[in-house]
Amino acid sequence: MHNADDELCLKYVLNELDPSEVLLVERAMANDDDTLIEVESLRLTLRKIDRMPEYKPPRHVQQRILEEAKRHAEERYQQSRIINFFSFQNTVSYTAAAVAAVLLISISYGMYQYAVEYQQAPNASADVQEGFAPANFTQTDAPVIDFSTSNSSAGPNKRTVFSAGSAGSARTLQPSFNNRYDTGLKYSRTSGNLSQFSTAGGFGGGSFSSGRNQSFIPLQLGNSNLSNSLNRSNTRTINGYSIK
Amino acid sequence: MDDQQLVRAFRNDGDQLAFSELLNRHQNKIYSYIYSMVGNQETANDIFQETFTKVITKMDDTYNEQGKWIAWVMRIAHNATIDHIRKRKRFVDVSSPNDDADYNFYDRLQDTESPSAQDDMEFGEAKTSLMKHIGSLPKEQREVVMLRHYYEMSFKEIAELTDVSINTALGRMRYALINLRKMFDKENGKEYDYAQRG
Repeated sequence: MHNADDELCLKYVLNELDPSEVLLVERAMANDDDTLIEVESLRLTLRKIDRMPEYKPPRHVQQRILEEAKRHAEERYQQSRIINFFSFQNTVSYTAAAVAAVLLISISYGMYQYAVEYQQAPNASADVQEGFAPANFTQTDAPVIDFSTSNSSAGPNKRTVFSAGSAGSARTLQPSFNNRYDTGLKYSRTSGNLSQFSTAGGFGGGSFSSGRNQSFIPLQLGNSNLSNSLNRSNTRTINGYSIK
Repeated sequence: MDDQQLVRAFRNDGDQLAFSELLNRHQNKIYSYIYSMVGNQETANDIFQETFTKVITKMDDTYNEQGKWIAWVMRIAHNATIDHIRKRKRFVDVSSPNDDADYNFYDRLQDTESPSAQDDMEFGEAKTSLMKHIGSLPKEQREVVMLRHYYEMSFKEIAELTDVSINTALGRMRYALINLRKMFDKENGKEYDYAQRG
């Protein structure tokens, strides 16, 4: 019997053959006694092996393994709790950071807008005063009040805008976040007409007054020297605007 | 619940009952394989525990749920057993330089065991003659017989696990059966030459 035939017999006993090969071995068994004996002998040996007993591990070994599994499960549970806690903390801190960032951006943007509008106010008022200023408004009509030397409740950090004329009223503005832009608005009501006609340019010292018949009324804002210098300065006219 | 569900329950929820059920289901086959390979109860206990310690700790990382859990455990058990046998063999080789290279590994293992451990070789003396004969097979043949018997592996799986070709695995099985048959016949008064060892 060839080696290849032996392997076929073994595969036949172990049910590892294709149906076509099974037919081949069965045909050989029918025609060859040696093949039949070989197959039966292998089958008998395999049956003996099938009677091999199963062994059970000792109880104390099982117990140790179960304890190990318990310990591992508990460790993993603790780790997952820590991980969950940190992931929750991360979520909270990321959310808080995002909210803080949005708030900061919003506040910064709002302050920037406020500053820009506040800066643009002189030009705007210069535009507005054109054609609205009363003709009888003269420098002598507008009182100049130096708040830097007074004990006014408004204090040196507050802006007080005075109106010219008897019908005028005063308005107190909150201080700017940036004192360099020390710009004031002045409203004047004369003969029932409201005119916004003059601005003071803070440290820049620029003051605008439009129209010949309109007089610049210097606004003194906490700096008597500046105010004095403004009062002393001459007026120049550029493009129809008088600059004092 | 099938094995996959039990494994998932243990991995995801730390369900110890699920692990206990898995252990109860498969422990006998795994322990029998280890025991029949090393032939010593204490050693088998150690390898069995080492196997399941690895199973517990590596289940999260290395076990892929696509595969059969028991096949993965069997591979761990097989590797642990073979590692032990190799270490033991190295020890025997060093301690017994005059050993005949063809001398049966199992017999050499018996020679090196302490008297108390030798008492534990139940399947060699007090158990059945079947276990004694299987214990007398060369390691490679015994391995194939055990994997086939206890784990009901196909020869393709055995070949993959033992890192040989399918034909080699089949050849080892065939030689194992021939040798066993002759041992049984010898036991029954018939004299045969041992088949060539694979």
